[in-house]
Amino acid sequence: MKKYLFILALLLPAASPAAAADDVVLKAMTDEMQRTVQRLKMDNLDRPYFVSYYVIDSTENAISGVFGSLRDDTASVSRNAMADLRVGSPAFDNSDYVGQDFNGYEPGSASLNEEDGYDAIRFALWSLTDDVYKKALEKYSQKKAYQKKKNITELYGDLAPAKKETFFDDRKSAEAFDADAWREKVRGLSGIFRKYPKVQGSQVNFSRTLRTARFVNSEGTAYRYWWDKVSLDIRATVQDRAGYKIADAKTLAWRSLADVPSYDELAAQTEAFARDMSYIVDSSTAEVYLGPVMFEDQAAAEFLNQIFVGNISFARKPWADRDDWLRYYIASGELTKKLNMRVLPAFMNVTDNPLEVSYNGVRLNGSYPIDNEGVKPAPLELVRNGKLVNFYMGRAPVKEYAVSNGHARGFVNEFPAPRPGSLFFTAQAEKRVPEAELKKKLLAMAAESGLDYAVLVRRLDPEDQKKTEDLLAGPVLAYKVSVKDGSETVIGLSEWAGVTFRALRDILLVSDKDYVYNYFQPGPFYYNRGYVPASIVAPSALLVQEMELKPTETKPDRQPYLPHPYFEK
Amino acid sequence: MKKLIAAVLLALPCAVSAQPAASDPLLEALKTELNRSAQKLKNAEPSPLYYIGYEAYDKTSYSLSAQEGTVYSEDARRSRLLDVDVRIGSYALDNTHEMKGGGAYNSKRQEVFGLPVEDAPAPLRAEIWNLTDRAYKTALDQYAKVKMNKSVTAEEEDKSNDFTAGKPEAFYEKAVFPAFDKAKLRSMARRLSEKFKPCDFIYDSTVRFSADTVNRYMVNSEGSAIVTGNTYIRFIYSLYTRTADGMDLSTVKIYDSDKPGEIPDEAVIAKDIDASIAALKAQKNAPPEQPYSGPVLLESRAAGVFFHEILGHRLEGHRQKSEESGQTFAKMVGQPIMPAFLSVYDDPTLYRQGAQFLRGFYRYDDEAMPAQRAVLVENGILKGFLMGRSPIKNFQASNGHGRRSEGNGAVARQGNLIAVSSKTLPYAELRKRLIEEAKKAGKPYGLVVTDISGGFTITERSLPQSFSVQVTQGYKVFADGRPDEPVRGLNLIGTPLQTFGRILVTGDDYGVFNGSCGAESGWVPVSAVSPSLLFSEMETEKVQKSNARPPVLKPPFTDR
Repeated sequence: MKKYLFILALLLPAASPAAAADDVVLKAMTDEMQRTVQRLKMDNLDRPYFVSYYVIDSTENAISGVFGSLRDDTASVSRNAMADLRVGSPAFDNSDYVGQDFNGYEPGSASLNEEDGYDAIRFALWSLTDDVYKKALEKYSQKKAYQKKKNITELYGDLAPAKKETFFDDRKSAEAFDADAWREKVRGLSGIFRKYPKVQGSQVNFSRTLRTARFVNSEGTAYRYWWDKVSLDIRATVQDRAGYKIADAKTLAWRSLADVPSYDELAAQTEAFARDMSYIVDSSTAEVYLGPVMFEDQAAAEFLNQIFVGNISFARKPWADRDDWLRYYIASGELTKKLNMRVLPAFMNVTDNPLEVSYNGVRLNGSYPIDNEGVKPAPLELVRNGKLVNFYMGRAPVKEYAVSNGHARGFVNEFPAPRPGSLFFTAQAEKRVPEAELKKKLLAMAAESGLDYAVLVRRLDPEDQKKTEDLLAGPVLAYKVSVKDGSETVIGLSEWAGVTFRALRDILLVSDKDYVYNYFQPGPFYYNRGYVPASIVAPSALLVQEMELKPTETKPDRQPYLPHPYFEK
Repeated sequence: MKKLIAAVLLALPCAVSAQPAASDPLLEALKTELNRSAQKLKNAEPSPLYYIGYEAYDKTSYSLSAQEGTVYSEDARRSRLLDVDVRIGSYALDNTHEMKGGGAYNSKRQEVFGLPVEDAPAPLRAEIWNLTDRAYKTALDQYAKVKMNKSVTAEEEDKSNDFTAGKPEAFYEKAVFPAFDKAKLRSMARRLSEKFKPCDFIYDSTVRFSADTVNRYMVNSEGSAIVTGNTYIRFIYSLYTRTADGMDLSTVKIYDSDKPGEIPDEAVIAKDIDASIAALKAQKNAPPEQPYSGPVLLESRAAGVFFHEILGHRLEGHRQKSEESGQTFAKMVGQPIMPAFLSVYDDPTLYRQGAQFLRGFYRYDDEAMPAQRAVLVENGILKGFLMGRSPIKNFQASNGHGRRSEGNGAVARQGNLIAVSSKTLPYAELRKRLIEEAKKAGKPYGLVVTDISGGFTITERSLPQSFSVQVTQGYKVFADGRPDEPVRGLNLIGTPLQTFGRILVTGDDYGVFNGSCGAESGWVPVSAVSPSLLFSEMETEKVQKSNARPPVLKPPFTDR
């Protein structure tokens, strides 16, 4: 083992970018882009009118543990490029067109040399550009034919004008990373599950990634900036008495190692997670429930994310030869069709501000200085007194907006799409009450409806776990709260029935405390979901007037034949 | 042939850990859980569990690649993976039985788990238990399906059992991941990759080094406990171009060993690269070939690939009873299938051919059986098959060829496939003979094939039993003495029995092909050894090409 660790230690090259002047990667990107703009033209076909390169460097240390031992321990470095090349004109070009090939609907991307090398970077970009150019020409002619065939006359343009921007920010030096200390922490945290006999399988994954993004485009915009990502992902699988297998993960994410709480705090969170998962084993069977529901913490934030944030993202839907496929493969912002309509209760306001780096001392993962298309964001008012007054925009125009508001984001293997940064949900003071009072109100409402219990949800499945046709993923940790004595019992595997956007407007009352939720928003394209870091600052609890919960339709499994060897008496 | 074996026995791997088996925590954890499961699951359900086996792969790997003078990627990894093989029913009929009829789906894929890379027993046992439970449930379910399928489909031609019993084996010999100078490797890879940079017709190139040590841990309910290791070192370079008519051409050169020190010196590789660049350029400028039928000289390394693809795969035992298989050779045992001067056997116990390391070397297969030499063809007569533990008519026993990569059920596979000849000519004579044959057939030239890529060989019964392998490098040797000309865009095609019958004579130049072979049980390292083969006639067809155009602009470094 020692030997292996030594090998790893040797491996990590310096991932910090050079100073602006001698950044060979940026120079190679700029030079190859210029050659492309000036010289790339095939026969009598169109030359590109717009070219951009986005290159992202990642240096990752990943350590995972199970039951007190390390399972994986890797250090990896990668550099990936994406090339966007447009033929036609800003009014109509090859972009936003799927054609027939759904799983090929992604930008041209390539992995580049990990090591800085001017010639090697240019060579790889040249090869990528040639491929992307040929595809762009084909897509352009297919898109024109499609437009004619469908007689589409309402066109809003394909590339909005944008100001030339430059932004260069260098990481002075990477925060020291003590791999041995983290190995020890992962061993310790994963070993906590030795105290929980009801958990069948568990895993703790730690990851620390240093990222540097570079961008150039043919309009003269160029940037380089960096960010660090630190995350801890705790996973567990249990099987309830009915035989349903329930797997869940608690993901904690930070902007730096310095933001990570003490080991004791992480251990306490792991304990809480293991305890909650153990409760599920003895849960009561789910039954149909129609009544008031209270969402707390992660569940409250996910409720807002999945129903609201996801639907003011991805405003523009690409064209596809098979229109019906769009429904299955691409998430689209359903709420963007409700501009100037009431989408939240009148007492709520929402703003997105990617420039805000922290809230109450907690760093926000959703902050960024410039988006993937080189547009700088500014505070964006989204909801005023419950009414939707804006939605996220990149440089792809839609009927309502012709220009970007700096929210085009995405991973390197997906087209940048309008997505969140850091959201702030606020509510009028008279609608904010302490959580205890919120719970009292919940029980009172249940009693009024003649119910024996009300439902309280503490954890929801994340967005990428929900079925395409659903608006909200099922609860992982839901409780029956007895109207009689306020006692709580965990509910077995269940899912929502008939959730509509109405649920947002049905928020009656919210907590007087705020919860900061740092998370990763999955990309719009179900084949290939890239994740972007985002944040939601919102009341830590929401009381929703009425929702319907029903038992799951999945079938249970048989219990293990043999007892877990560690817990076998 | 005698000489060959003597040479092989000279050297055996020496990187062996001396740790006694009793103190290996992974082995202990596997044994403990195996015993618990074998005992308690045996009769947990009315359908009995009659066999359970674990195979854990403890892997350490390192890879480094470079392009255009800079490091492209560098990666070091260690992992442990576990395969669980559960058999429900009896040796005669179990859950692995082939399903038949419309809609029948037979896959060898199975769930595989990552185990901790550390040695504490509790985490290891927890994960082993978890996968065992899943594998047991999957096997029970599959066994119920098999029984039903068997009762509703027609009787099988080959009524052999599904599994043969094995004897308990005990073996402990771990391979140790070798030490090498990474800084030196990086500089060497950078410099070598730089050599492709000035060539404006090379559209992609890579130089790559990899080192992999795999220690396989096998325990089973028959009482076997085996730990056996292999190390594989490779140095590879590849270059690629595209012709104006849209044909992709590439050259790949691989140096194999189990010791980093045996990779040739930089100067040697650099010289090979220069030769490959020149050959690719010549090939790119050659006109696309028209279909041809005439004498062909398959050089030794290519001949090894040819035997592997066209003969080896068809002699994999389990295919002889699969009702989906073409069974070219199933009923030909005892009959001639090639000229009497040729014999073929597969011997995974061979570690080297002369000085050359053989990737197909192993001591135990993935079914806990000792590797053995399998005689396949003797003096042209078919003698037997590559056998795992799935018996076939007249061949009940395994000869240690049950192989797989993790996540798949094992089937009969090749190890070191070796063709030997008693009718040989020195290579120079063989070339002369090719020209004579061309003249005899009234052809302007004969074809020399120096390298072929895997291509495909159809063994499914639903399709014609033919093969098609791509000639990646070759040239025309003219009857009138003109200089040789490179060829491009050809596939060698034919049917196995007819083609073998056309081998006139062989060289005395045994060449080694080292590669990775993919089939239904995954990727396994293999070798093939053969002398050059002269065929009186072989047919070729045009390759399918991409039709994509070469890049519009020149590579940036060459466009100044």
